[in-house]
Amino acid sequence: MKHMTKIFGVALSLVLGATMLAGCGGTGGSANVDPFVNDYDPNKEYNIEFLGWGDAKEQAIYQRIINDFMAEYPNIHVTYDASSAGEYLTKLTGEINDLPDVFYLPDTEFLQWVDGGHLLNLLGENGEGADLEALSNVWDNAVNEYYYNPETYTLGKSEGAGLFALPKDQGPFTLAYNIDLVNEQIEKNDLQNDEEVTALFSGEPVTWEVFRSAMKKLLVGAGENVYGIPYYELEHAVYSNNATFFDETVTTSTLTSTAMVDAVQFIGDLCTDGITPKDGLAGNGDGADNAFYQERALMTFVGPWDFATIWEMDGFNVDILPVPYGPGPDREYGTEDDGKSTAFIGSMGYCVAAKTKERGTSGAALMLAEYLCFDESAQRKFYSFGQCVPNLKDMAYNEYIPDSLGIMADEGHTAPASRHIFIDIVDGFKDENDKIGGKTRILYYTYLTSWRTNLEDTINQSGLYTGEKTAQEVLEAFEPSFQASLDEMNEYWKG
Amino acid sequence: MEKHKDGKLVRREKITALAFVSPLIIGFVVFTLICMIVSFAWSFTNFNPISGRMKFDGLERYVELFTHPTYKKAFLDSIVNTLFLLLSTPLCIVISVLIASLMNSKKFKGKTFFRVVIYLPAVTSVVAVNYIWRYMFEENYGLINAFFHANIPWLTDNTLIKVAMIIKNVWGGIGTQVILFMAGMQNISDEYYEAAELDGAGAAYKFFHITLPLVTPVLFYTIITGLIGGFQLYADVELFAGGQYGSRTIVHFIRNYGVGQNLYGLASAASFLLAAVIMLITALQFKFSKWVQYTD
Repeated sequence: MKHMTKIFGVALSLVLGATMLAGCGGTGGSANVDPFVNDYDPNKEYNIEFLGWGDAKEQAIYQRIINDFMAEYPNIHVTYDASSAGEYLTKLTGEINDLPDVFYLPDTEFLQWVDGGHLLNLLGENGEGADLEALSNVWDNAVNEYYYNPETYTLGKSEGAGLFALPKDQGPFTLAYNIDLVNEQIEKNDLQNDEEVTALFSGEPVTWEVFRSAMKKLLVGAGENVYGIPYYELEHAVYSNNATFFDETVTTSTLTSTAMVDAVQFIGDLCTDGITPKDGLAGNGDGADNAFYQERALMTFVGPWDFATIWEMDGFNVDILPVPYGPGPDREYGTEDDGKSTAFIGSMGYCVAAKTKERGTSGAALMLAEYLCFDESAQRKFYSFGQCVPNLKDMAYNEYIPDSLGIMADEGHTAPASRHIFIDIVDGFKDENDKIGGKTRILYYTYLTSWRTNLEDTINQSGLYTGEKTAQEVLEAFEPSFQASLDEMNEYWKG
Repeated sequence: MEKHKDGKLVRREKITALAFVSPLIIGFVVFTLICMIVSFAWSFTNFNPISGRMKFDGLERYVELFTHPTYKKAFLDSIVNTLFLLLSTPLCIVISVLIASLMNSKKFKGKTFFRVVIYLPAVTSVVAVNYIWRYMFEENYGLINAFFHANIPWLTDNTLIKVAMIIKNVWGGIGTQVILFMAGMQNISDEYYEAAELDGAGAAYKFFHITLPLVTPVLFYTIITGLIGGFQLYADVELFAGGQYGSRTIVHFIRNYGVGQNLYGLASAASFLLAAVIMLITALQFKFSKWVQYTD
């Protein structure tokens, strides 16, 4: 027995020691921008793995598109696996030492994964690597998002940067409204000729003031448990008021800037007005979707993927709107620094695992990623199944918006009628007069994500929604810990 | 020669015994012990499995739990929430003992039927139970508010969410505990009750002086397992409370920061603190367990 205890003790110490030592010294990033080398040989057979997420319906759609890919390239055999969205990152992290050849990666996680050296640079030399010509027809922001230069720690396209993923889609996330419920309220409250209500549903962006006023009018007599919107997205308020969470270098907090304070106050005011319920930001997620689908909210935030569900709800008529905008830092509308209707964009990238280089499957993996990202027939299927708006600019403008092939009409999917707004958002602000655009969600820019959870918790718990505290008070109290988080995060990343 | 034969036999028996218990031991070593050791080692580092960074930081993660500007409040609040939610353990025990003694009474009719009804929550899917209770507590259209003609924000208020969770957990825990207490009560010899009745003892006297002392081993077991389970509460936070701030427990903190945000060092430190607290409380319970009557 004594002998056994001794052996056991030694074994434990060894495991402990090995664990402590394993990875020690790994204190810096290991992203690699070596050019992509195409190892694909059309005469060889390839078995590659692809991991994604989604419900049964999304998985079925992907399987069909992967089958098309395999029919086109019979020597590449793809094994497709998927989990629920909630469990996906846990599953992927569990496979970190033996990642699938191709996998989804949310852009909010991109920085850590690219820094950890798990993603293969898809830019090659002499025509090898990703097809840049085909990518020039994909939304600029969507492609640029996945460039990274590990030398300068720069996200986005820059000299010396590698391309570490191809965009799956580009969101976008904007306001949707229940057409019948809204019309009922318009009729009930005799708002047919009301200027503010008309402006709100005109398809053009309105100011925050018009939005609040119109919503208050619409909610009259709607019932005690019916709200204007179940919650309001923080980024939509911040971005649409020309505000930011931190400076361009992601080193200094701008939480207490006038524009930022006003954006958060706008969300608080929606609660005190009774347009959103008192749990404000906390009420997002499934609860918000259910409230909208059960006609307990006139509006909610949706992405193109939500239409797969909406299309199945007979008689549930929905259209989309651009998000309202604020007056900007000078707090006056009609000046140069006015906010613009800005929704957050960004979604996921198709990544090729760095290990495919050793496996000899990089070329085949890249072919699959490219097929999913910009193959015309695949993109057509994705939008017709209600998965996303097309990644291809020409398809979006010439085919998706006018439904020129009649694909959506044939399927009985005419909603959203204002789908050009989705495209306006993903195409970004083309010039000064462009009123609708999008900006990548904020977590994409930071190495760790805990600060965001903390900010939302702080706002939710602060009394802002009941009017006990102002946004100024809440953000001033939170800023020191936020700045400390930024400092620590940057030290961890670049230090 | 005889001795050698015996020795061989004993050795063979030992091997057979080892073969029987080895699946359990291997499972424990692989899935529990090694994980605990690895996690303990990580708690002294800033390990992030995605970036691959790991630097030995000594006790820094443990200190951060109580001082870090980002995590301190979340961690301390999760402790408060967990302790508050532990109230469901004594409540559940008290109610279970009362129901068990009522059902154990000879006058009680329909024992089998009520035993099934009371045990039903224990065999119902945790997910289904959580979602049904969530709908019952919903502020705007929930059954409970509808019944009281009230608009109580059960699911959004930081204190009320805990009260709702306690109610739900007491309901969910009663089934198993009633069965355990009934089994304990049925083991008590009738002679005690008959002797007490001859001395003119009433129902309350018999309950406090015979029943309760003789079910103390079951009571001790339910207190220990109840508290350990209470400290490890997680599913309810996600399924019932939807992650609402006032419901977040220590295990939720560990899951949220460890797996959710790749701060494995921090989550490991929190796990070890939690394990230490559970071990300490359990050890103290055993130390002060003289009130448990193991013999009748």
